[in-house]
Amino acid sequence: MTNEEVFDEIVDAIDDILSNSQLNPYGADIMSFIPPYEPDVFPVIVISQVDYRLVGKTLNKHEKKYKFAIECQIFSKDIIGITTTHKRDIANHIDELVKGVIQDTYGLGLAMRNVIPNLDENIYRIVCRYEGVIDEDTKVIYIDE
Amino acid sequence: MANKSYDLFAGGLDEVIKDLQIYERDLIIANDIFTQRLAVETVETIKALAMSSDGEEMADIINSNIIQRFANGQESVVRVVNTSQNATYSEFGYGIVGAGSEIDTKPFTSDEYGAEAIGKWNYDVRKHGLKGWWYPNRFGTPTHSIGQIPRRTIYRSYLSVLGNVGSYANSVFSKLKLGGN
Repeated sequence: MTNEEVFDEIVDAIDDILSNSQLNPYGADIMSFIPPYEPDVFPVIVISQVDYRLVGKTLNKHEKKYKFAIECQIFSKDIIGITTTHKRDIANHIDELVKGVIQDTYGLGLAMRNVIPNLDENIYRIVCRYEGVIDEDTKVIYIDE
Repeated sequence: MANKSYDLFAGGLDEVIKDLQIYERDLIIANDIFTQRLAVETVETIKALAMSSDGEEMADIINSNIIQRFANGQESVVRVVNTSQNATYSEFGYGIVGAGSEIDTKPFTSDEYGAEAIGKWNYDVRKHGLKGWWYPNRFGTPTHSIGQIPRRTIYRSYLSVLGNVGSYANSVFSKLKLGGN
């Protein structure tokens, strides 16, 4: 399993969870880069791979291990209806679901989670970075302590 | 750590206790030196990576970082805290502007930078247009931005320092020996 396959699998798993209206009533647009337009549908999730490099191998070039890092940005806006759902609550809810997939299912470790200012202050923004090591032979993903 | 022999039946136990106390003290001092080394390496790596970039906001990321470090015996921590929003944007990018959003900052007047600097900020993170906004660069002259993409300078510095942390630790702690130096 290559890193691209792992990344695609994780994104697909996140898509499945966020598309489940029972688990996520807010919906979500998942993208792999900041959109080159001004989106009118929120929340928006931008997931990108930010690190992938060889970190260890045996002398006979087997048991290659790769550091693997994913950055997940969650953008949300208030949903105004009969009652207002606050953008922070929406982002936190989606963050929990995403964390469940990346951390609990795939075994990557949460390296950073911060609320980061966004140019458009109407939009709430959480940035998380998850890290792990992929053993190319065993296909095991684990946290590099 | 070098081997050392003790004769436990000839007052050696007292010597062991004394040496362990000295060793404990030396470990605390070495740990402090180690975190200091990590902090210095972190700052230098951030500067080196920032200077190799072409972004004007790099000045912010260089000048606005505060390095905190502490070692309390349980853990050794080096933390980078930046004090500038521009530095944050440089690390993470400007983010997203929603459709119809009123980002009305008008940071400069026509008297300062001319008529073209007036207006709302327009947003664009990819180089497929000339939308953007005016801001003073590090020399104070007006510069047109076409948007800030995430440069991840601090994150890349963290990865670089993390890759060398073993050699930093080895260079400090390998000098320790039981009974002091």
